[in-house]
Amino acid sequence: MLGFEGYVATEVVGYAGGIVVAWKEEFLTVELITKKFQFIHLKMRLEKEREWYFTPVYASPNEDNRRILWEELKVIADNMNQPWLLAGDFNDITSYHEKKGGGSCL
Amino acid sequence: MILQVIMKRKEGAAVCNSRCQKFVERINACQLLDMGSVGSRFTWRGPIYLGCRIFERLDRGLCNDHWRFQFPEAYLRVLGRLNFSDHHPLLIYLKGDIQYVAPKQFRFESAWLLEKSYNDMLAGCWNINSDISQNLVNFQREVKEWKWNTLDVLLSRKKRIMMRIEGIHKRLVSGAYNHGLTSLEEKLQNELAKILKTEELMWFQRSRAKWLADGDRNTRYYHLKTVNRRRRRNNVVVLRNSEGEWIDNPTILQRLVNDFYKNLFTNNNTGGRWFQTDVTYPQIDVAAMEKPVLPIGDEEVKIAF
Repeated sequence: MLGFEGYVATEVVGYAGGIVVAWKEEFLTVELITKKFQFIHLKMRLEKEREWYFTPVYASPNEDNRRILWEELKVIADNMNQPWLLAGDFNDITSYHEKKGGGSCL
Repeated sequence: MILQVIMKRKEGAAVCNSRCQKFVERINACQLLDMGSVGSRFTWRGPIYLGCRIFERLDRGLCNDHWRFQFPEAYLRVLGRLNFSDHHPLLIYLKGDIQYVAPKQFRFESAWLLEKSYNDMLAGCWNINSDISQNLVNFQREVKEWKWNTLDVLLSRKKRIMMRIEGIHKRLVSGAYNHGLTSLEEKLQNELAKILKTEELMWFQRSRAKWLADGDRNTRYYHLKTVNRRRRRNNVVVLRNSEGEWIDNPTILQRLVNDFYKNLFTNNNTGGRWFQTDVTYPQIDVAAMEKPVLPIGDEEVKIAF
């Protein structure tokens, strides 16, 4: 990948729905822990700092899939005693402040 | 039925509450905090519904307390949306604000040799009848201008267009559907796509040249300097002053930045450009919350003794 030495990606199902993580090896050591349909779980180390975990997420628009995602994340959370960051498209909002326009689900 | 939907929309609460609640519970069950964000309040552009575009904050950063302690200055920025997606990119800064460093010295980059116009520029400014020191002085002046016109101008144009697109997003979110703004965005997105393509080609050529030079000649040093773009990104190369002119002279740049901050802190009408979303913490469940105010029973007193 252009300008990046490190690279990990999920299998793409259909046109949308993939995760790609790319990094520069001179700054960062990345170790793949698990790769699932909706997230990739990685161990990161920046230079000499303490290691931490990073989980890029691409949640499905389908609730059944999202339930599976959160069950899997819960297992990680219950065993996590290191710094952990998750980021990405969770396909959910926490309150009506996070939405503008559109109808309700009746 | 339709009336009910419109009314609900006007109230601004047309959201499925149980779904939100479920999401909050899932975040809490994993003991995660929402990092909050700066930049655009929404991260996704939905379809137009009843004459009004839907926007949502579907993308976010969540972290546990260990991570927050390890990176206390980290913050998440929602960048301007590019045309190939309905989502805005997120950029997470681990170490707070970017440090501004002093302007670097002039250095030759071997990747310049890849540009066809470089040879023309060199031939144009090099006079075989005058001495070498005079030629070097000429070259230094010309190469600066050449570099600006061929490489830097592209990157600064990209930056400016992306800022304008962010501005349009902000206005589209705060108002109803606006045809003029939408077509302006389309125009800017097309312009941006062209620039990105050119930039990509430029970097592709540079990355190919890396092995060429590393293999045949001992110029690895120059290539590390070229390929390592961080150097340029950390540098304020150019700023636009209040008259709209681009300033790349280091001395004037420093004065410009100085004046800008003097102005910033003497003017009261500044804030408002960035929206900071709420940073959240796991909720305490109702039973635990009510515990401290419950009457003290005999049983509890006995246990305490």
